[in-house]
Amino acid sequence: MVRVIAGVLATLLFLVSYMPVAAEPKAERTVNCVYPGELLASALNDFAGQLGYRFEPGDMADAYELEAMIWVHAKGVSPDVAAQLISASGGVIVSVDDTNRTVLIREIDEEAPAASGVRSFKTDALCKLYTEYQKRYGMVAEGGLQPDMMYRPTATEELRDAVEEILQLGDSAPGSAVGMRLVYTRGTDDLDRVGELLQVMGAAGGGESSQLQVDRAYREKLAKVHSSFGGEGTLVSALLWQLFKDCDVPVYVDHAQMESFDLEYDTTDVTLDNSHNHYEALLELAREQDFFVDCKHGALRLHEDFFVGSSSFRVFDVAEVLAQLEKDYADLKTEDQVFEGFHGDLRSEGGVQVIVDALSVQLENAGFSPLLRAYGPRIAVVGGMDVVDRAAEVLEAMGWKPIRANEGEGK
Amino acid sequence: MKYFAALASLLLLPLTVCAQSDAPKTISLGFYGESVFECAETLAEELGAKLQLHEVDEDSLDMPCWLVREDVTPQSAAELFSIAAGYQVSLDDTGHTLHIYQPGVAPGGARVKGYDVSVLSGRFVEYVNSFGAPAVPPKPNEQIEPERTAAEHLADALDEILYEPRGADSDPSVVGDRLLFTLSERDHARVREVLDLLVAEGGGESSALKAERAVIEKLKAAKFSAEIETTPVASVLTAICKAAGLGIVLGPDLAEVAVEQHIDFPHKKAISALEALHLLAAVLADDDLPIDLSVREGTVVADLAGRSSTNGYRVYDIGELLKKLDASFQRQRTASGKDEGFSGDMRRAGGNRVVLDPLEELLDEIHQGEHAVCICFGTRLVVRGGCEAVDAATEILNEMGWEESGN
Repeated sequence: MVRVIAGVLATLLFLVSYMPVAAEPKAERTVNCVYPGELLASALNDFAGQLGYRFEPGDMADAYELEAMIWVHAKGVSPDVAAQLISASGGVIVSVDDTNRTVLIREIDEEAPAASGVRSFKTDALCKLYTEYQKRYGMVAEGGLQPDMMYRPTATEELRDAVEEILQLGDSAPGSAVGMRLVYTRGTDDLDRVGELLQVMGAAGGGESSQLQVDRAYREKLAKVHSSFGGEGTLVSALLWQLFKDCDVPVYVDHAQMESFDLEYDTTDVTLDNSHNHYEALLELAREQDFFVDCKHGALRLHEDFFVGSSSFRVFDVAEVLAQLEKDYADLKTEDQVFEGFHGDLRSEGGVQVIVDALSVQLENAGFSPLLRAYGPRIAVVGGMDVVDRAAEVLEAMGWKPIRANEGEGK
Repeated sequence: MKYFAALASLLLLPLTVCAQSDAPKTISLGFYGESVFECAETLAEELGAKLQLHEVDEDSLDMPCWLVREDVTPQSAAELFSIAAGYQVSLDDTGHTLHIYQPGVAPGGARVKGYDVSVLSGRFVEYVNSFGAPAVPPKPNEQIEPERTAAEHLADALDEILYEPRGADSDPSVVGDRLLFTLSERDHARVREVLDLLVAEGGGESSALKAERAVIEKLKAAKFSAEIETTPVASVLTAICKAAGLGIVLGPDLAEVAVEQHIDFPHKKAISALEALHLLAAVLADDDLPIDLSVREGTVVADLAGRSSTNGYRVYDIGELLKKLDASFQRQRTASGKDEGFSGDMRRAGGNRVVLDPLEELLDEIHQGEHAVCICFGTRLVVRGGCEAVDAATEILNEMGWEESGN
């Protein structure tokens, strides 16, 4: 008996000793990245200085990138976020080595993205959705199927292709479609993005990515700021600084956009006056200077191309519109083989492509050309809040009704 | 009693103030050959707006601008200036910015709207089922044209009816029986109007055509007499329109010539302003400067021939006429296999083309063909053009047996 009790006590003692102890709250380090048109080298020296570290350029000591300008304004952010923003604006990879207390820099190697882990995603529900869509609305190939001529992916393979396009994962380290699973070996950031996209695509009614929700919150903040500034010959850089300097919204200019800007000479006709808020002025500047706004790395991103890989997206569920269109096309059928007659249906018109094409044309008419990708009855629109909200308007004009399923979550 | 009067005056005071503040602001424009860019700056200043050029070079706006018009609303001023400049000019909804775009591009601030065209599509399907011409079988190796739905045919028709040489491309999308357009509020109003007229029993005239009629009445009523010698063409046109209390805008290509070219136009004896304009047009045609006259925003528009700015139209319901013609084709059928016999019907005769083709031919014969565009959508026929061309079309249709609804 005593042995039994002693054994139990020993076991309990063992378990208690291995129970996780609540971590002592560690004061999180933050830095201020205020680099509006700063040389990358001096920004990195400042960043390292704020951490009490040293900047080690290593092999890039003589690289021209260090002499190029970056534009970042983000106060009170973690060193990791700061490194991401500086990286994105400088077109390099900046990392913080806490062990050696250094800030490091290296070139982006697109051939070999950092792969830190493997993760698999079960896709049964999405595959079922796609298969059902194909059975009802899938386009029939002209002249019948030609087995060796057509790429006919499974629902999982089609999903893998859709994920790759929506997130612009690139050709390296592709995902694998295994039965009804997708397997990826990539960096944690990419794996999290894939996971989020699959979750949003599978949610009833679709939904928004977390970065899009952050984007929304930041734009609301900007919309509350008013000031009076500018006039003839105002520098773009000066206006950007005025827009963000007093606003708690982290922002950076993407590297490709930095190459398009000439911050020393580019001027703008956009002026600020108190009747307009800073968000309206930012959109006006974006139209004038031909850039787009979305959210990445937890900061607003000013960039020039929708196809550079965004974390801002919204997935729309258009199943009900498809059902309505199926009826519409049935009503549009005529009787005989007559001139101006129509004998097709939603399938022959392209299924969900009818909606995607209209969405694309109308967004283009409004000055947007975002990345659109359908997967069965789900359509992903990649871009910032202005683009996504405009897409919602276009879809509503087609008869789509928003199901506010997971909107608001995570806010 | 005095107390009530005082009270009444106190009550009326804020009403008067409100009424004044609600009255639409109007401006007067007088651009007599200055450069388009200078005029754009002046117009923006008049409107209290900022001028913004979108992919339009300041240097490309150096041609002369001729636009004279009093008491015009800001939006109409922008539209008239668009004609004078040859670019797409729009004032944003807040009135804060005057934008100049290249023709064809989508202006900022355009909104998307979806129009349910199920009624019109349904009518078109009925028409095709009743009168649609038989499909022509494709010739060997000929590419088969994909079939188009009623809504797609309607989108094509609207594109022709609403075409604006300086405006944004409407580029509609067809989704089932909905048409989607991304346009400014003014352009959406035009889409709504044409859809309403196409649905309306008996069709009808667009507001632009009605406005043109009003202007022509003014020109007919006004008397013009003057001894004009060696005066710029632009000034003569302006003087005639002024006699009728009307403004004038010259298209950029005409302005380029008309501010420089001088003419004599002696007319001591009073004639109507409309006659004076026609006479002047004839004189200019003899001088190798043929012009077209039209009306926009209650203002006379003059441009080089072939560059008319007319955007009015009339919608005719030819459903009854088609039925009558169908019956007449039936009556004319003879026993089959006879020499000089006829065994066809409306379908084989071409459906609504039975009306459309002779209408176009006859308009050509009376030299109105170049001023009118005829578009058929099932049992609806649209004639786009000025009053003269539309009235000529009405007369021809009457002769074909078409009757105004209610007659």
